[in-house]
Amino acid sequence: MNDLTEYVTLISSDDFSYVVLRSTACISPIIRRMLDPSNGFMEASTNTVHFDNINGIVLEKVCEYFYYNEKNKDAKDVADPDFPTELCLELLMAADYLDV
Amino acid sequence: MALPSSPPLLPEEYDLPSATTLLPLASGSSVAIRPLHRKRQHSDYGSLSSDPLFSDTTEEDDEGIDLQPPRRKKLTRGPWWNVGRRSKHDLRRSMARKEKMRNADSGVWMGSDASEDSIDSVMSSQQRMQELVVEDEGPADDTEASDEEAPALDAETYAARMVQDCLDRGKEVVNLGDLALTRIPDATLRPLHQLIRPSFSDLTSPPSEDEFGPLTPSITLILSTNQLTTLPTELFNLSNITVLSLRNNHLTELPPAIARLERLQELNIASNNIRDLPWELLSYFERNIRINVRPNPFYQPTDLFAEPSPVQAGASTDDDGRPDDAASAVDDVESLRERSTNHKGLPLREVLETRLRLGRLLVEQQCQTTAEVMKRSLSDDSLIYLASSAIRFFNVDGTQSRQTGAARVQPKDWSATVTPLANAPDLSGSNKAPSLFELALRSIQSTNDISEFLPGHGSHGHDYGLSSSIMAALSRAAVNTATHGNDTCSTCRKRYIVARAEWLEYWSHGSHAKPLAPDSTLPFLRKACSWACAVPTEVGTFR
Repeated sequence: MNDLTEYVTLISSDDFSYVVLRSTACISPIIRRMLDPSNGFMEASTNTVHFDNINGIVLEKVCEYFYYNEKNKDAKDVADPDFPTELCLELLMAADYLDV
Repeated sequence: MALPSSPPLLPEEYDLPSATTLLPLASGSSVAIRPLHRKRQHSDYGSLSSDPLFSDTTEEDDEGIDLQPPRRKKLTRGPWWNVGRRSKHDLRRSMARKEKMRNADSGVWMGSDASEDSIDSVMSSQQRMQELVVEDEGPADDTEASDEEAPALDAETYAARMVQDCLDRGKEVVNLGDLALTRIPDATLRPLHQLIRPSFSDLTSPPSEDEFGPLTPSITLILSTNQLTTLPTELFNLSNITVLSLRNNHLTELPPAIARLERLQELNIASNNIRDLPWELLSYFERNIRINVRPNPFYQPTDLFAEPSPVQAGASTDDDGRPDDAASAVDDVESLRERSTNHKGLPLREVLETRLRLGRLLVEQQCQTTAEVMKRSLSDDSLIYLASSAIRFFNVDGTQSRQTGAARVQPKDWSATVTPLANAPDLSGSNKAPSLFELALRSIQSTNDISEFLPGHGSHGHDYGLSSSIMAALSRAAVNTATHGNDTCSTCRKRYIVARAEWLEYWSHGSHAKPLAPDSTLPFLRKACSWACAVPTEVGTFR
């Protein structure tokens, strides 16, 4: 069993890949479970997650959110990040899927 | 001499200045004759000039409209006194005419009052007035309504008229009680924003010192003994309400927006179907606002009616003896705190009583350190935290979160427990930052028209293929925008759309002499914006 890497790769449906810190990506229970070696998924061994239902633009925003969340864990009175209007609904669905 | 002196006076006057009596006659005859000549002489000249439109010479009044204005040159002919007299007369007449023109309605909205808002309000108020005028009987039609017409409609119209009446007279007591209202439209209450306190009525004497005051009214709104199930949104925008009575209605919940009525001094919600109070109402209890909450079918932490209270006798003697001795009181606080947190095998009721005693002791300690004035208010109306129910956690999309082991979602259970976090999900990764779901929802709420995503309104509602939980969240966001705005987290006071956790907290509110009883325990519904915010109040907290 290989060690847990510091970074993991998230790949969108249109083959954009994003390399993010494992700790930030694991705020999503879905990704956490996929990357958990004890569950024995292929994602865990390759440290790469493919999303067939999330496209590159949306996944970029999701990754931005991962870091926003990491940064503002204990902060107060943080302004909400701006999302492009046209992406909001897709983001909403992606967030529902990822449970973040 | 039977006749008074006035008849002889007249001829005298006529006689004495003979010139003046003659001259008007002459001028009168000239008026009759002259125009004919003049018209002939200057007919083509007048048609060439463009000035008759606003001519200021005015002999044509008694001659006809097509008459040319008399030339100024002609006017100067004749005796000099006639000239002066005539011109003064003319001036007055032309002034009158101008005034007439000015008073007529031009039919044009002036820029200052042409804002859409004011037009709307004028229109709507006119409409309402018309509606009100249609049936003219006044209060008498109340009985009529119950006989033949639809009572709901009539009661609403009647209520609207009452509000209008209060507005007209500047009455601060708006009594809409006992009207069998099932709902109150926002439009009915909206006029109350314009209500001002009437200033001193007779202006005969100069106002005295105390008559100089703000015209901001202190509205007393009485909605008691109706059949209301919901409250209009507009009610919570009327910040000038000081007394609000909702007694004897069919309300099942009180919206958190009630805490927005900042000038409120008295609130009566007795005799409704309210089972729990919004967390925001706790601030009202703190501010010593008179609140009447009973009777209502409130949730109880445990069955307080059935069990006897075993420790009550001991508790009362303790309370009597200890507070004088500060040192032993501290000991007692420590031991009580330990007993209320280390609750192995103790019945819930006993734990609650222990917590109540702990709270009271702490309040008394506080009283000894604070000023005499504070003492009374503190000891009389202090709120002591008793217990909370099990916290219900929700996923990001608002569906109830399942424990990993649990097969199905647990049923709603609001009874108090000593371990509110017992069935909590894994809270390790949670923090207070809003979820991506929440953020996306908020940004949809602020930028888009949500209703276009909802199936009821937009034609393409179903095309998005949204799941039911997303739909529920979207419609919640839409409702929030339409009514009171988003809720406030009870822990961090951030605004949220989707609650992530909710639980009931039971607080004791009553005089210190009383033991733990159903009528001194109040349930407050707390909601939180994130799992990290879902922390019940600490044992021993009082306000």
